[in-house]
Amino acid sequence: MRKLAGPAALLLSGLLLAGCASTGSGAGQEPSAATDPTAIVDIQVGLEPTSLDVRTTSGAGLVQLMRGNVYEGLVGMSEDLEITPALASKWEVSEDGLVYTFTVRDGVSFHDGTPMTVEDVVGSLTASSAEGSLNPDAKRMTAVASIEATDDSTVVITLSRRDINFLDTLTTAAGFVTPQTEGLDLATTANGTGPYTVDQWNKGATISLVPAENYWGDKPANGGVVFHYITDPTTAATALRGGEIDMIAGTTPETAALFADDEAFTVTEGASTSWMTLGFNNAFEPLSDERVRKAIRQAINKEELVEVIGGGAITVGSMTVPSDPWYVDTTGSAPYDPEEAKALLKEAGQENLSLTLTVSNTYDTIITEFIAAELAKVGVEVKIDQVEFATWLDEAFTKKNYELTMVLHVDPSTLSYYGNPAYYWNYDNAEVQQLVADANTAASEADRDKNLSEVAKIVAEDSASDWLYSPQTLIVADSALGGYPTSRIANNLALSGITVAE
Amino acid sequence: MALTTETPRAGVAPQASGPRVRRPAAGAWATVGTVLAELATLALSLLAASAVIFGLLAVLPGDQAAVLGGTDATPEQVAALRAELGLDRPLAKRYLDWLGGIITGDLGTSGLDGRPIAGELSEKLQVTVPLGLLALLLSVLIAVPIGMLAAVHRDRGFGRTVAALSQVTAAVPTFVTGLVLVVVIALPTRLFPVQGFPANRWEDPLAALQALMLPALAVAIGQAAVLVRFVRSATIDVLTKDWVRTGLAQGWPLRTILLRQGLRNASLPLIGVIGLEIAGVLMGSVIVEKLFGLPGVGGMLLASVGNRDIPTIQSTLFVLTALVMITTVLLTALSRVLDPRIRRTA
Repeated sequence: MRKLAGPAALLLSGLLLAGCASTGSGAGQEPSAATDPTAIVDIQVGLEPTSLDVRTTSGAGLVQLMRGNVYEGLVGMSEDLEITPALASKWEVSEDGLVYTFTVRDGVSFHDGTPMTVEDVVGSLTASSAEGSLNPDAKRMTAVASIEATDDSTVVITLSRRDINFLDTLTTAAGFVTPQTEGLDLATTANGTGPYTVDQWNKGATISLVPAENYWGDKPANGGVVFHYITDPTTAATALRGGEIDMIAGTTPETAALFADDEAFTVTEGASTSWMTLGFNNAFEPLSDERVRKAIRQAINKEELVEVIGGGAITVGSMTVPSDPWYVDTTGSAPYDPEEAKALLKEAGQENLSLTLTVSNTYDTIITEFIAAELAKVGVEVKIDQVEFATWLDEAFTKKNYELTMVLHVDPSTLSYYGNPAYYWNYDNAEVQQLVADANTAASEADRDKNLSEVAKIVAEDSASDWLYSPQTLIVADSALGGYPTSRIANNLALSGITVAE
Repeated sequence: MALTTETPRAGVAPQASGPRVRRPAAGAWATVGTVLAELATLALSLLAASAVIFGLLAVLPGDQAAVLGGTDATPEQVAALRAELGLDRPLAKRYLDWLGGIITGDLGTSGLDGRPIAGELSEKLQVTVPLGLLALLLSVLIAVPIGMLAAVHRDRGFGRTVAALSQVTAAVPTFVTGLVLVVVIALPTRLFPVQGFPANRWEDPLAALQALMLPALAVAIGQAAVLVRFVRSATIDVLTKDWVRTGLAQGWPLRTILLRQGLRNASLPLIGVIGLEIAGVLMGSVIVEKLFGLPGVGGMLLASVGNRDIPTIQSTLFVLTALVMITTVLLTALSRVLDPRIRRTA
């Protein structure tokens, strides 16, 4: 769709004023009375998948594109985290939480026309839960003991131990149902059961989705969606202004501010599960001292940091956000207090501390410079070592060869990684490990949430890491657009409800 | 081939003929020899380039398997990926396998999605090569008339303004020029898209050209600013020649002399400079490709480096190096066609 743009002068002055303007929040979600079901929706997205093969490829870019749009599991997840029926019309869980019985829907076919059978379901789940599986979510399937089809429409999954998150897991890549045809090349040609099928992948630029023929569920409310992989926020902003795209899915506060006062566009702030985490190598000598870790946390003014990055973020004291069911307010665990930080460092005998902050160059340097400046005030000298993401993965993440690091974690389940002493933080706390194990095998969600809240509190008290802020998702869309999701869209971007006003 | 049969054309100032002048047949053989020698040098340089590219990438930190696995992969998964990608083979074997593939025309497959690199590279070159050629063409179209006029009017306001302006323009980064073009041309006129390239590529040549015009112009303006100064000084050089004075004395208009003789004589240094500019245009392309969201080689290379897709990086770098080297050889040959002096003394 095309529409008139504001004068170029506006954009220029907008660029100059960026940062001063405040981010508006609008409501573009009410479905408009008259919508065009054939309209193509053009969406700007930052991260392009490296391959289309959901069986082996990890990465937020692929999940965002495929989940619920192209591929489906037995169950799906709504925007407010409810488990919904998908390829299974209904399911039952045994009293002991070990046996899941799914009734698989009839009349479902893959995009290439072959009918989906219970064998496809069993084959897909068996492959993703198998030992040595390359599926990025395979480790969530470790509780699976057996998967079998008892008749043409029933699949029974038996677990070796309780797993309260098992239905959630089935909504991830580990649960996607793919055709079990031999020698299938899913890396370049996706073939799922979802409302859309991948039409064309213009690598490095766009992926277009068209509504799938013979989709078992409701037809999409639009005529198709094109993902535009534009990494430069300025280019994305001009493309939106120029009518070449209809929506920017996740942008910077500066860019959002350019559109805040323009009625032709709607700026929406959505919840996210991302945490900019300042990771401590808990096994590294001075950082193994809890006082030193806490001093570093208390030396960084998080409120000011949020201002420095232009707003659009909330401060958190641990790895939970208010939209998590296990949310607990831990912002008070290490309040900003440079004097106390100095005292703690003195007590720990680390008044002349010098640390290296190893960070991927994908993050804004303004954040690391702010941290270095704050820590300098309490006598900690920080050397910033900027590396490429691939180098960071190898050195810091895999070999754990770092002192301080900074990473944006996006998956809500990352909180449970504090129960894994082999994870890159080298955080080893038996109590937390037990709580995480209990949370996983909890009999009810309430129990799981109680245990995870406890984990969040302990890691905050321990200063296992520092949590700098949780960036909110900023969406800028043409005002003609409606029905788009706004929360947690980095890994759950449902497209079929998006409407375009006529 | 015109190269061997070319004879000196009329209109070029006669050169002092010394003992080096040979009969045409001998000259033709000498040219064949020169061409063969140049081809041999080209082959050796390409071999050296392949070793350098492979060697440098081998010591690049970061593991492709780790990148593929992401932050969620277990060490076992990463090890399995390494084996699957063949990263556990000895370095020398990997080099020879790759080189052998290149010689037989097989660029290998991407380490990420297993697609043939040649296919993807040719897709991307369909954007980058036209972009580069268009940028070069535009820069010449801008620089030649302005440069020649600046030479003729070198002592007047116009000449001085051009000299000063070219200096300033050459210092403006390409992405700034690109942004200005978007704001000043694309948004108000809607004649050119702000980003992207048609997904069906050149099926609609007009749409493809429209998508390339502004990015090419952004690169061309920077390059033209450099070229203008060369054209200007080359033309000044020509203007001070005796034969120009003679021509003027015989009543030929300056414009005719400049267009018939001056352009031809000034084109030689210009071709040399354009040869040098090709690398600059390629570099500029990386930036405008990002700015205008074009699916070109630059973006492909950047993404591959980020993902440590080593097979794609090394094959792409090699093809680019080969392209630049071959173009340079061709331009040298072109200079020889245009200027008998080089042909004679080669």
